[in-house]
Order: sequence, then C-alpha cells, then structure tokens
Amino acid sequence: MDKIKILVIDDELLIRDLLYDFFAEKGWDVAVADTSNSGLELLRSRHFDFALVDLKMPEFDGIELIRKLRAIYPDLPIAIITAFPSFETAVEALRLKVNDYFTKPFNINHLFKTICNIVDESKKNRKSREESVHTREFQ
Amino acid sequence: MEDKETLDITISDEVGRFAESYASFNKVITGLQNQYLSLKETYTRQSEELQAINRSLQSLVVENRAVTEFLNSILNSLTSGVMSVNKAGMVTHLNPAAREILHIPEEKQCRLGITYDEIMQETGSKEISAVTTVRTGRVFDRCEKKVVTCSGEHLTLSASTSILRTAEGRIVGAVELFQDITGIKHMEEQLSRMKILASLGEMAASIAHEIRNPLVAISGFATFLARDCAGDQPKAEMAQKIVDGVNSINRTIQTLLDFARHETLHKTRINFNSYLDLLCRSFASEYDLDNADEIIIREFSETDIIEIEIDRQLMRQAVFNIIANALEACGGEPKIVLATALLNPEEVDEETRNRLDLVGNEAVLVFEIEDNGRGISSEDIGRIFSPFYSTKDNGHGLGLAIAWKIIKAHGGDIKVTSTINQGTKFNIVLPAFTSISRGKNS
Repeated sequence: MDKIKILVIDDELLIRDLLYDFFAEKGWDVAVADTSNSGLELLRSRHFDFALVDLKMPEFDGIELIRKLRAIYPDLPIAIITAFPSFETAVEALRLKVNDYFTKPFNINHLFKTICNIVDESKKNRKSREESVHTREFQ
Repeated sequence: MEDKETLDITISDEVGRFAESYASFNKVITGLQNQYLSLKETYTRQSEELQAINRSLQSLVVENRAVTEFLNSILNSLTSGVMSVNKAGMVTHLNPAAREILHIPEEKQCRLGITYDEIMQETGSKEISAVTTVRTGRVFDRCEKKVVTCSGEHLTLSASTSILRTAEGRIVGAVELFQDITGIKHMEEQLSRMKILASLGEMAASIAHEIRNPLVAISGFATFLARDCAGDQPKAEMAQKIVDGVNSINRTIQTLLDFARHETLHKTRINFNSYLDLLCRSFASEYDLDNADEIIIREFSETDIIEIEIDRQLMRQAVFNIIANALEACGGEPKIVLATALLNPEEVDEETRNRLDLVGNEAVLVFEIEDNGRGISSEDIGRIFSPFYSTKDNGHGLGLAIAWKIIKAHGGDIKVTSTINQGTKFNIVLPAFTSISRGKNS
C-alpha cells in the first residue's frame, strides 16, 4: 500500500511540528505549509491524499483556501482544525464538502483514526469509480 | 372780758391753722394733680412705646413664622432625606423624604426619643453618619454608605453631614442629608458588567487562538510521551496528567468563550413550575445528591401554571449555576428553597416594573432561590455577578456572571440579598404571560 500523502497547513509552528512528527512516525508522507498561499502552491505542484487546514491564518483564511482548493480538486479529502470554532464556519465547511471539523485542542489519536477512515473511504470510492468508468482519467 | 378775749384769740388761732392746713392741703392736691398729670403723660407715652414694640414684635413673629414655614416647605419638598440628631444621638428632625427613603413606620414617626441607629443601620464599617459628626466633629461630603432600613431593605445612600451650632457657636447636634442611590449604583454595576462583557467578546477569539494552539502541542507531545513510557506505569501516569491539565485549561477557555458569546435565544413557551421541577431532578442526578428532596425544597406546585417564554437550555444553565453556587455556600445541613409566584399586571409594583423595563401590560414571574449558607458580605455583594469575581479557591468566577447574563438576555433581572451566617436570597424576575385561568390555580 502506498504511503498516505498528507499536507498540513497551519501558521502555528508548534502544530506543524507536532503533526509532522506524529504522521511521519506513522510512516506517512508529510508536507507542511505555514501560509495559505504556500499551501496552495504545494497542492498545485503535487498530489495529496489529505489536507488538514487551519482556519485562522494570515493572507487569507482556511475557508477561502478551501474554496480555491475545491475549484481544482473537488474530491480531495479535507479536515479543518481550528482553535475558534463557530457555527458560521461549520456551515460553510459543510457547503464546501469538508470531511471533518476538529477543534483545538484535539485528541491526536482520535484525529489520526478519523483521517485514516476518511482516506480509506475516499480510496475505495475512487477505486469503484475507476472500475465503473474505465475510460475516465483521474486528475 | 378776759375770757372772751381768750376765746377770740383761740378762735383766730384755729382759723389761722385751718387756713394754713387748707393751704398746705391745696398744695398737696396740686402736687398730686401735677403728679397725676405727669404720670398720665408717662403712661400714654409708654403705652404708645409698648404698642410700637408690640407691633414690631408681631411683625417679627409673622416674619419668623413665614421663614419657618418656608424652611419647612423646603425640607418637606426636598427629595433628599434630611435628619438632625442631638448630642445624645437622638433624632430631632426627619423630613418626609427621609421617612420615605428609610421606610420609617408611622408609630416610630410619632414617637419621641427615637435613636439614629433605630432607623438607619449602616452595614459597612465606615460609620458615615450624623452621630459620628456630632461625636467627633468629622464631617462627610457625599460619601457612599450601605444601610439597612426599618423594613430590612438594603440601600446605598450618598450622605453628607454638617455640625449644628447655636448662634453662640455651641454644638447642639448634627444634620445629615442623604439620597438613595441604590438604583444608580445598580445601573452603574450593570453598565460596568456590560462593558466587561463587550471587551471579553473582543478578547475571546484571540485568547482561544493563542492558548489553544500551544495546548494542542502540549497534549500531542504528551501523548507521544505516554506511548513511549507505556512500560513504565508512573511515567505514563505523569504524561497522562499533562493531558488532563491541558483538558482542564481548555474547559476554562470554553467557559470563557461561552460566556463571551452573543447568545441567540431559542425560546419556547413552557410552564415554568413543571420545567423547574424537571430541572431539580436533573440537578440532583448531575450533582449526585442522594437526599435531594431534603436539600432542595420546592415551595411551588408543578401543577400551578406560570407561562413563560424561555430558552430552555440557557435557563437551565442559569438556574444550575445559581443552585450550585448556593449549595457550595452551605455548610453541614444545606437547605435551598425554591419559590415561584406569578404577578398579574395589576399586581406588579413600580420597583419591579422598573427592574424589568416593562412597557406593556405584562405579568411577571418572581422566582426566588434562598439558601442557608454562610452569606455574602456587603462589600462583596455588588461584585458577585462580575466576571472573574470569585471567593472560592477553585472557582473561575463565571458561574453567577453567566446566570446574570442569561437572565438579562431574557429581559429579566436578578437581585441578591444576604445576611452573614444566615443565608442568601436570589430574587429573579422575568416577563411572563398573564394567567387566564387564575381562579383555578391560585
């Protein structure tokens, strides 16, 4: 099985360090970005299985970033991690088909299990879609 | 012949003496007459003088009466209370405003020899009073003091005193001028709470962000540690304690966020008594009270209908916070009495009307929570609803502040009275619906 490729976009160094260490130890391929723009650049240049996005960031916020992302990758599994959850951002996240919404401080083991499930599900869906539509090319 | 001569001589002597006597008599009469005339003259003069004096005295009396009446009418029409005391601390004068502010009953008003302490008891230790002034000579200028009136009401007064002297400068007493500023103080406190709330709202987002990010890292790395120490029980427990600590900090942040958030009320129309009955049972199970019915006494019947529109979740939080607070203040034999009453529009008094800012013809729910706890000192009582004010070691000082905010959001008001070592009473008023079938329920 291929290594899971995950991108963490958070302006907080401590969070990036923690998540990098944690996922790398699980044997995943981890990339980190400290701004929305650098995150978007990375996503444009490489394929990822999962993106973990902070909401409150300089330049433009997580919701704006996901909106831009959805235009390129409508099916990329995404989860939000935020220290300041709100009803409005949760609703917006639903509209943008975000897979999950975590509030800081989160339980890292719980976060890990959830991401595993989402990625599994997404891979299965992709596989079944590829089998049913042979001619379709996946982006 | 000789005899006749002798007789003649004798007669002429007697006539001579008589004439002399008569002359001197005449002289006396004239003198008396003169004296009488002069006396009469003096009398007339003096009587005129007296009349003049009388007239001026009379005009003085009239003038004096006018001045007294004028001063009295000023005293009577003053909205400030005026009270004078003598050197013994006895009240010598009270104006109507003073009687009204201090709720002095009729029988005490008529009685002479009433002492200052009988009608005004200061709850603080500042001794701002006319009695202090007359005893020490120290005067006060618009000083705030907290007092208990004859009817047991707690008031905040602004008082000024001055010394009363005779024209010769001898001290005879002191006078105290005071205004009831309880309402103003109440509004000031509310305003300052509102200000704190507003600034808290602004702070909350950035606090949450700045604290929660490092919290994630702390708990995350502690999870690493716990895993690495899996074989070493004491070390694994220590790592777990780090995670527990983080969770505790996070709960505090959550409480702060909840508090600062602008609540949108999701109101439903309910019967408050049956709702309260449910709350009591829910409280007992949440707080693990075995003998809940002995601790929380319900002085209302759940079948009595008091209709009110509330956000059930938020009101639950407010009531829980107040009862939990009451329970913590109680000692060995806690007793918390809950009582409700519905005031129909015609029963709502002016004070309640003002507290609720009622405009229309609304009914009012009066809900009281009374405990037999240690009580709250008069210094602390004004601050108990302020955020972060706590007398408990483990309190975050938001419980009552949240309750206050929720009651206010419902258009209600919450007031607290307390006696040290006897207990505290929370009096909550909320707009309610007029009872239609009152005959059946009352």
